[in-house]
Amino acid sequence: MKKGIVFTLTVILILSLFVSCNAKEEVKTTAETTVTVKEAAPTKELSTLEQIRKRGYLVAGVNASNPGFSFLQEDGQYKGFEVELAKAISVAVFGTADNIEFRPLTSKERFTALQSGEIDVLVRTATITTSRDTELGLDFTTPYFYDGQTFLVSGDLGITTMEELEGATIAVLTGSTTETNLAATMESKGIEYTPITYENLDEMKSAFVNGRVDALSVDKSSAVVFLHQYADAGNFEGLEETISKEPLGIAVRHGDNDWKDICQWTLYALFFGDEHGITSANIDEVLATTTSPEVKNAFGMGKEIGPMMDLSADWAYQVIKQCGNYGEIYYRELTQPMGVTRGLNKPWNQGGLLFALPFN
Amino acid sequence: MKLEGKSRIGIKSIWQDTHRRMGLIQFIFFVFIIYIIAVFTTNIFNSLAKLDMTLSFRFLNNPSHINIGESLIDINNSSSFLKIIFAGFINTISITVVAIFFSTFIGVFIALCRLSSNWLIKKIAIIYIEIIRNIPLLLLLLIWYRAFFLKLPGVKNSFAMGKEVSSDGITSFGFSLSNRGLSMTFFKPTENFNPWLICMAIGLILAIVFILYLKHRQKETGKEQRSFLYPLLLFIVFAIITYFILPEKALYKDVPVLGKYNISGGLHITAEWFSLFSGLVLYTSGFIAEIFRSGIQGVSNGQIEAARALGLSHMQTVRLVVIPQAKVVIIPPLTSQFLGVAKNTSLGVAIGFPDMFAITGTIMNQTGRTLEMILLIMSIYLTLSLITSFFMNQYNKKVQLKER
Repeated sequence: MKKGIVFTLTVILILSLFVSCNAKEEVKTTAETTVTVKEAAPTKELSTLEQIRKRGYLVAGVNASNPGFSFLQEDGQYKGFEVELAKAISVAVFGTADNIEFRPLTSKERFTALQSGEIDVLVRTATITTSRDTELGLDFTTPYFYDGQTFLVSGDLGITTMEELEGATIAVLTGSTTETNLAATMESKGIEYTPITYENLDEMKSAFVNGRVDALSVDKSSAVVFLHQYADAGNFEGLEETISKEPLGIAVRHGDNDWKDICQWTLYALFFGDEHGITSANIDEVLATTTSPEVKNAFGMGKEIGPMMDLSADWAYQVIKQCGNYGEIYYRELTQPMGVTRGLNKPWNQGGLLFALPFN
Repeated sequence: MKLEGKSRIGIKSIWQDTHRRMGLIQFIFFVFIIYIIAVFTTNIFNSLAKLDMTLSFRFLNNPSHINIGESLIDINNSSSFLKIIFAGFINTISITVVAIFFSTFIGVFIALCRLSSNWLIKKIAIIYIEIIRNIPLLLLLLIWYRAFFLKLPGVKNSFAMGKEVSSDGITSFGFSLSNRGLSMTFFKPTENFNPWLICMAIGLILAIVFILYLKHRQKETGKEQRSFLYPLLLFIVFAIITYFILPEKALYKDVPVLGKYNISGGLHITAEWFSLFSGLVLYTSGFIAEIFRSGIQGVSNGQIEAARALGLSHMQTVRLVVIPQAKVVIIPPLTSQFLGVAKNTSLGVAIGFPDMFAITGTIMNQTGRTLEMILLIMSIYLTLSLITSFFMNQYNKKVQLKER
């Protein structure tokens, strides 16, 4: 009997120890969570820019397996067009492209990662749509890339139009606008097909190359990259038809307009350089001789634009100097290695859609 | 003395009374848990409010605009989100049930091999179990999908049996295996299926009555009756006879036909379904084999020797002595394995199988309703698991040793 009591007491003692241990830990977490809750009040909240400055580096969400746009190389470094855009933002904020951390995300995870504050900015082939802009609690910059959706098929089938895909099995990436566009277009045209959705681009490409699916529905830029990559794996071709508009934009959280301004104007700075033929090679020369007030404003020699956004005066100069202008990045990452043509992604004065708003 | 003290309960008296003390500690702990939950919930709602979002399930009735590759129910582009989640649920269930059935069957077989006195068979079984149990399921799935199914020839030159080309150039198959999956001739119900269904129901009732009669006779005479085999035979014979007697045939033969891209008609099992199924069966059977082996070996040798001493044959010993006692040990871990199968189907997302998890993932992305979908899918899996374990627990109670 006595033994029993002693035993129970010991158990209670141990249990209460656990309880108190837990309690301590939990109190800690609750303290933290309460702090976050309090941060929701507008007066005390750190803005995204302040958070990034405090942390010392920018966290950007990118793709790990989309060659040309953004992919993880064998040496562990990210490379691609979108990676360069993210680096340009890092240059604008810190004056160097090194203060940046990349987070590889799938199409499915990307918006949640941004909403929850895990990343500061998302540069990951995100098509701008109304519901994403409003319902998802996101905000987008103007498009940095104008794309459209098409089909990739095996050349042996001899297909030229999408009507001929009646009864085919078509692969799409899950959680992308491609998926809904495909469903909507096929329904409107009354074409029966079997979709297979993959979460991973590699898995999808492998299924296509092995003939598990008859066609891939992807953006035109991805199609070009695919044809370039798999030139030896078989006879593949893209269809001429474009079934959707895919304007890709840089996404940030809704509500922090200052941070969005920085991303937006960094992009405009890249467009501006392209528009005026100012490259990383000739920028010093141009600035020494220019008489244009807008060029002077843009690169911190006229109006002090940088400090208006809480950036350094020469932020745009650094962006162009270190990363090159939009055209340079495009050529370096897409045209030269992958054979992607400019298409609509040219400055407005050269017949494209890129239009930098006035730096004034 | 303690009773008197009850009128003025001080902190000290609570602390000195074991029951009250335990009650107090539990109460504090309970309040604490409630507090934690409350804090987290408020935090979620505050974060949502910050993003101008509210928790709402109303969107589930909106048309989904998503297409699903394979589904056992009729869905299309304009089906509601709820309906396509249901389609995914059916896909999950279909694969779970079939995989549980096959992995139990194979698991038992391997357990028996492992207990065999044949050295070679025993070693092979051990190697199988050890390899399978130590490979992650995801890897097994990817091996099946990428290294087996995707490497099979395309539909146009599949491994086929009973391949026929008709005069108008239509190719049909008896059986075909390609990287699209497996197609075979199958019997499908015609419009005159219902009369036969009624006949089969009558047959089932007859069989049940027969079972009850045989059970009754076993009690009366004490003589053992085959109370399952004969009624089953009765049912089958009845079904076959009525099928041929009925003037309109209830089933027709559906032959797979090669179209421009795919094989249509017949019974079609997609490569994704089959890869997930094969992976699950391989993986689970390894664990189930070990559960059965331990259960069987858990029956002490003395029991078997006693049974033999009583003059029971080998089969009788197994059936009447070993299995009833092994069951007691086997059922609880087997339940966990079955639950595991249901949950592991969610790995199908890696190979493009549209199970419930994959579909909710898509919806999450298309609508941005992450929290709602996670809550929904959690409750569905929880319900599924609770139902399975309820039935398994009922069965477990039935087979537990009743000590008198």
